[in-house]
Amino acid sequence: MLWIWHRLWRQATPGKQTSNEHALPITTRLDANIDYLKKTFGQSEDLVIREIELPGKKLALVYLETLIDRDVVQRDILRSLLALQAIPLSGDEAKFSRLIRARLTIGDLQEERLWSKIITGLLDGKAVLMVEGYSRCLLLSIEGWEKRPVEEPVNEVSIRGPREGFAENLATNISLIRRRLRAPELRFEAMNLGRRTHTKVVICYLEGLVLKGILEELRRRLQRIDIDGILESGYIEELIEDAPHSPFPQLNRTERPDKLVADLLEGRIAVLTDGTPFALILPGSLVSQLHAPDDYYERWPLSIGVRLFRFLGIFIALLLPSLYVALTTFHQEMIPTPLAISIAAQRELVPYPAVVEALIMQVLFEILIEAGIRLPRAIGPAISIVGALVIGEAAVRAGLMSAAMVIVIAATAIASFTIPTFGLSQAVRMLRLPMILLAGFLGLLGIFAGLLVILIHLVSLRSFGEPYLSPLAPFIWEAQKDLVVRVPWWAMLWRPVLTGWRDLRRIKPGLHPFITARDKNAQDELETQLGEGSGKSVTARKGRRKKTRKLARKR
Amino acid sequence: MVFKAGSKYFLYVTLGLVALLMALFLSGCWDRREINELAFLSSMAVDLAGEQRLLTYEFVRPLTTGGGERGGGGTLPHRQATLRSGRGETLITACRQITTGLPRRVYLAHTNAVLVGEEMARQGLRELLDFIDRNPELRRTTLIMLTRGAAREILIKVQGDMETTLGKEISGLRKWVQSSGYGFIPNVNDVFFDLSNGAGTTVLPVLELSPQPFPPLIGTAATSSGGSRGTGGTEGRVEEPETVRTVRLNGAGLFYHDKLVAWLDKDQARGWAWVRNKVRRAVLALRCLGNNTKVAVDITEAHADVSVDMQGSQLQGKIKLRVEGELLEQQCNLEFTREEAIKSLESRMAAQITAEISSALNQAKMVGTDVFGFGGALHRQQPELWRQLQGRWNEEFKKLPVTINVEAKLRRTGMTGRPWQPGAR
Repeated sequence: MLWIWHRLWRQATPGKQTSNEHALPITTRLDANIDYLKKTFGQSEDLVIREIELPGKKLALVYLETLIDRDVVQRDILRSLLALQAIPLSGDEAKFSRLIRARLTIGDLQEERLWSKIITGLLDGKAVLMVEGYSRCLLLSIEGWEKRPVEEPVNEVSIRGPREGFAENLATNISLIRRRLRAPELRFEAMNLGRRTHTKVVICYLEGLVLKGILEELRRRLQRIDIDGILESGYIEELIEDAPHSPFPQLNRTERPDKLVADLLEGRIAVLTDGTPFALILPGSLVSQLHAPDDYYERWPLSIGVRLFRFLGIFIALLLPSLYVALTTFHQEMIPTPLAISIAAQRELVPYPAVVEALIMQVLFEILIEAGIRLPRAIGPAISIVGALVIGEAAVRAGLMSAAMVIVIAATAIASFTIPTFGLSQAVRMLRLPMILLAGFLGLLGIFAGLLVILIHLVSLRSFGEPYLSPLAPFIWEAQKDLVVRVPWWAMLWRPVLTGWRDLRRIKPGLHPFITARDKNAQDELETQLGEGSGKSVTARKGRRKKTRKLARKR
Repeated sequence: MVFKAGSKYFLYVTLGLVALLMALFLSGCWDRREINELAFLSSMAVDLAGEQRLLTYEFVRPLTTGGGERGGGGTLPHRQATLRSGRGETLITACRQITTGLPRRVYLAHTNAVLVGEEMARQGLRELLDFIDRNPELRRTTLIMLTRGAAREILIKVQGDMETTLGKEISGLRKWVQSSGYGFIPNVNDVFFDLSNGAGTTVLPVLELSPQPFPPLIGTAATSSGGSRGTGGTEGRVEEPETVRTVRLNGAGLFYHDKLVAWLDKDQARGWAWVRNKVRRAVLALRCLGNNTKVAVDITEAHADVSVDMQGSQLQGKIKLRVEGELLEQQCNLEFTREEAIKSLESRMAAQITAEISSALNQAKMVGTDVFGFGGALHRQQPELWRQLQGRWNEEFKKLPVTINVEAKLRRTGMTGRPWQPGAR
């Protein structure tokens, strides 16, 4: 047993990389190269080897048909190459490559020697142009494959705000970010993770604003990843986070480019993964997971109300069933008398204690949610609405559940959907069950003990150095403007201090719009009637006239 | 997670377990009470039966339908309560005797009212107050009232009319009875407060049964078919109650050092209430000049100040009361737009209130219970003198001359012009 474990451990260490075999250059013989490629890729259906005979030269164009844009091959490459037939070609490698570069109407050309780069290029959607007798070949970028168009993100819906969401294609995502943040200091650093999948992962940040230490740490952690395949950003998240055993997500994730750009402007770093629309943002904090982009687009009094409801919602989602259980089981003196008698009347019919009822309901509800994700679209809505109502009603009628418990569970479920990020709402769902158990065994003191444990855990969490509960836990006065309330944009003078201290000033102070509408209107009207600049002088004259009148009366 | 000492999760786990462990010692599974196993006590009556204490408990009867539906007949007066009584040498023994006949746990936390019988009150409230204070479930905000005769009579005979239990009825009464000015229901905390200061006196209102008329129950539709069957003669006829017994406040009892010493009737109780600022609204029925017709004035505000002055070597008590009223009804045809009419009405208001207050004052002086707060006023104004007189304050109070000064103001008369008269334009 131990020996098996030892062998597995040894096998997993780097040093036995299979890609090292390909660190050899190509040969000058075309057919040997083609054979090597055929051997590497096996009898792959989509490997296309197109041989072109130019007078004096033999060329071969190799590509993976499923990864390239066929129009480009036919229109640009083959046409340009076949047009070279009329030109006399010399044997000089440098001259020939300059000629090809002058003729080929492809934007991205690279010369390569090593097999590893060539094979990676082929798998990236590039075509290899090999010439007989030459020691280098050209890699032409002609990627084109099926991709999902940019659509509204399903999981992060907002009422006001852009409806674009990331797609699975990395280039599309980068273009969405570039179009929103047209600054030259926006940097994208790419790396390939995953030994077999070679997934392209891109780190995105604003040079000059981002903290160097976090960037270094992120690079270090990403480079340390040595895994078979990266299929989703969740893999990366779990491999680089600070507290892997915590239920709370320490990196934010988002599908929306506007949210990502807002976070970049605060000094955070984004990690984009090819093949998934979910981008990671670090450092993450609990507070930023409770903020929705809508809060910043709607008017600020509304945002204050909505945020307060959301904070209430997270407490309800975590605590309502446990409070109900604790109060009705241990602390009946805290319930108002009519309610206590009513609850007692309802619970007459239910044969098991409140804890058991709450746990059963919670478990059933979790199953319902999980099943609801996978319901076929045709029957989904029908089952959810009708089923929930009818089942709830029938359960109460059958005496399996009390009506108050149905309300409690429904309110909890609805409140848990106010949490904007899915990761946090998952964490709250997970923690709700132990809280019910604690409430059922230890009453309100159990709830407090549970909350204490959660609080201690949250306070001790750090995400890439930033405390998880900031700006609440290390209480930062300047950041209170965006915690529970959102002050108007003309008052948001500073970036969040912990991530953006390199360039704190965000907005020019004094941008509060006009206070007195009357003054503004007077100035504007006068300006439109009498011309530019006269508005102010006329109103000033008015004031002066008033003054002389006063003096006149005095005399 | 690795639980070895020194691993970085050790602290997490330990702290979590410590927090849980601490919670375990304070409340645990063994304290669990299912809410449907509890018998909610609504009110209780405490009596003395010979040497033994007699406790009567009124529990809320559990409903078997969901969510507060009223069971029972449609228009019959329905009281949703069960009664149990127990005897014992002490109150606790009586209480435990009740549990021998109850399928649920007696739960005192939602108790609304305690009724004290006359004999128990004469013997002393101390035992009952001690029982309420020591019990962790009973609250100091429980209302406490007095009854003439045995308290259990009232508890047993009351029929529910508007509320389901007597306790709910009394807590509703507490809220609204101040509008008449005739009553005020204290809670146990108030009684403790009153009995703890120097004068050591308190006033408890008296609750009594009052039969009220009740519409008779309409017979069931089976009467017609009941007549055709032979046996249906008595089936179709339902008992038609014409009176229903509800409760009301009537007067109060004076307590000296927790023992009942005298009664106050209705008007005297209001007189006391004027002085102690317990009147929220009141109606004064005053005589019109000359004839026997009446004018009704509704008092909307009343503020009283009680003070004790030294007049030479003599203590002088002073009650200063300021009331404001509105004219609501008159049976004579006076116009109240003139100044003199209003002034004379005001003086009559003052006279009536003064009469009520002095009647209460005389009753209190007869037994020497200072329920008006003179002792407290003296304590606040001249503490050294109070300390001298504290021991024999009830004797001093019997001799204390008191001046009553009532300022009455009529705010509005309800009309701006002349009153309506038939035949006039």
